[in-house]
Amino acid sequence: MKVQAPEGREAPPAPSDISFAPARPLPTTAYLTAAAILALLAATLCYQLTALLVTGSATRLLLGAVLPIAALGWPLSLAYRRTRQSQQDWAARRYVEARTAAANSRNAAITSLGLSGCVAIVAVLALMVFTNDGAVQKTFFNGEYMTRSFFDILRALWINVQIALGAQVLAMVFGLVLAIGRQLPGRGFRPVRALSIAYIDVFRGIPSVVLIYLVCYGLPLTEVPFLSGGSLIVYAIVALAMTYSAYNAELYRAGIESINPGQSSAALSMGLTQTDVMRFVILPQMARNIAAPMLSTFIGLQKDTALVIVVGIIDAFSQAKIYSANDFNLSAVTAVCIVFVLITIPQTRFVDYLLARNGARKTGV
Amino acid sequence: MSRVFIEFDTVTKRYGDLTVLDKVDLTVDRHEVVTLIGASGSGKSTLLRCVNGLENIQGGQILLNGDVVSGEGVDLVALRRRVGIVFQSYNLFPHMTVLRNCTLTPVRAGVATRAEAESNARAMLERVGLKDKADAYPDQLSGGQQQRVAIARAMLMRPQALLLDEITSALDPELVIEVLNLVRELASDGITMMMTTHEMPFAREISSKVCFLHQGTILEQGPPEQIFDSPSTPELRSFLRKIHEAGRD
Repeated sequence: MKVQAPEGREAPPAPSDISFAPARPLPTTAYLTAAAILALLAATLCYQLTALLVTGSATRLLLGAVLPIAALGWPLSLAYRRTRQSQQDWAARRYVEARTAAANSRNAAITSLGLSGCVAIVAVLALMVFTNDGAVQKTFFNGEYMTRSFFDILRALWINVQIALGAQVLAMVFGLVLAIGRQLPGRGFRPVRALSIAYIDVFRGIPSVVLIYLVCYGLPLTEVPFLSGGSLIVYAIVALAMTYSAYNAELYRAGIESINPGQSSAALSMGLTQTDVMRFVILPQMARNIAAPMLSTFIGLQKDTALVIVVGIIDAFSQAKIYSANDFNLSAVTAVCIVFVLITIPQTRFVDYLLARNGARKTGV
Repeated sequence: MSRVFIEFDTVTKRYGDLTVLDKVDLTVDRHEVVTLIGASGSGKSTLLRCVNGLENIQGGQILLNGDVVSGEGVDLVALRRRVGIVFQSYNLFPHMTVLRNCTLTPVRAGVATRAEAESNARAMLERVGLKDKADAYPDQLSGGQQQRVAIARAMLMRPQALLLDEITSALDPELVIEVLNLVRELASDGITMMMTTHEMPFAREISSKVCFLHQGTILEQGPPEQIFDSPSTPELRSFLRKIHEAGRD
């Protein structure tokens, strides 16, 4: 077989030439097969889903078969054509082109896999929601029950916000005290260190819900002056702060340890007191390092405020539970989920923004 | 007023079973520049860090101006305000501007008001050639510039002695000279200095005394000519030969 040399170049030796063994293109068969199977599965699921949702057989054919096959088939056919291209290039001894085409074929197959996978997952979820004559949808996502309870839930959410903010402030302050307490140097502070560690060990281990139950029901019973007079919400704040200060203490400790020891050597060497070193050098740098994990703990705390239902405080979840019990429907509770998610997302973006701004200033951009 | 300013009296430092400094005797006179040389791990940096109490010692004592400054009961904050130190890794505070790096301690120590501290700092920054960098953050500066800020920061406490711990070792070769020029200037102003360095020509030029440390002891000490030109121990001869082969002398 006479092979046409690419322009301006001498034809490279044939693959069979023992002295010249060009690297083979990446294998694509497994990728193509997997992509084809998943695309078929996704298309089938789409067809099933349309059966639940639309009646006309023409519309069903259009939405359930033609559309998914066109959308999912495009990257798949691209992947297939590139593999063919690669084989032709290889036979024509255009080795570089063959390898490039094979790599492109793989990329197209991966795109196809990702697309089909997403479509399949969404289709399965939709099937679950609309199956049994839409039983799941009616149970969890009934628009009427959701809107009816929504404003009462928002009003009750104010309780959660109060508890979360109060507990967070306490937990941040007390957590810092614990973190500093557990790393005070010298023999004299050994009891303080031991006490801090003991506190962290104990209160990180007790489930928040149990602590809320004990504090909210226990303290009023003891009739200790001052301690027994508070409101239920104050007790809930204290109980959550007790748990979360233990978490925060560990976070602060990791943050303090993340600062290069040279920083405190330098600060001490200049004649700053230990307190000033902490206040001006260590803590400001630490704050930057722990902002993101601190927010995670704070979100954990916000969600744990829903536990106050065990002591009869009417928070957002408790309010929704009343609605759902009356309606024999869980849509109000789903609304609580949505509300909780909605309040955490802006917080995450805010911390992202703070960190990005700090990063930008540090590099002088 | 005695001539001796810093005195090491049989100073011994151990980390567990490892003896880092073994009965070191050394005196540093007022306005003198003493350079410590020796291989890595010979104890040079540790010896410097003992002077301002960053390391505690297990035997002997250190005296500053005739008064013991090692062991229990020493006011380390006051001591460190009298003895400045500059590190190999600069250790500027990255979250503060250059100016704030320079004014933090004078203001907190109460030796200057904020306005005084700022005008002192600007004057000192001008002296080290960084007048226009006062509002920059440390990571916007080159290594040489950062190290000059670190020296300015230490000098602003008006220390009676300055310790320089391999302050040019982290710098690119072309930045070394700007830092050495500054040190030369400070030395000619008469501040008492102890330093460790690998820049042998500089050590020879600036020092009144050079000490060779080997495995935690001072094997040889004397004027630079004696140490560099007629070493008497085989260890120092071997060390100087290695330096020579590395092209650093």
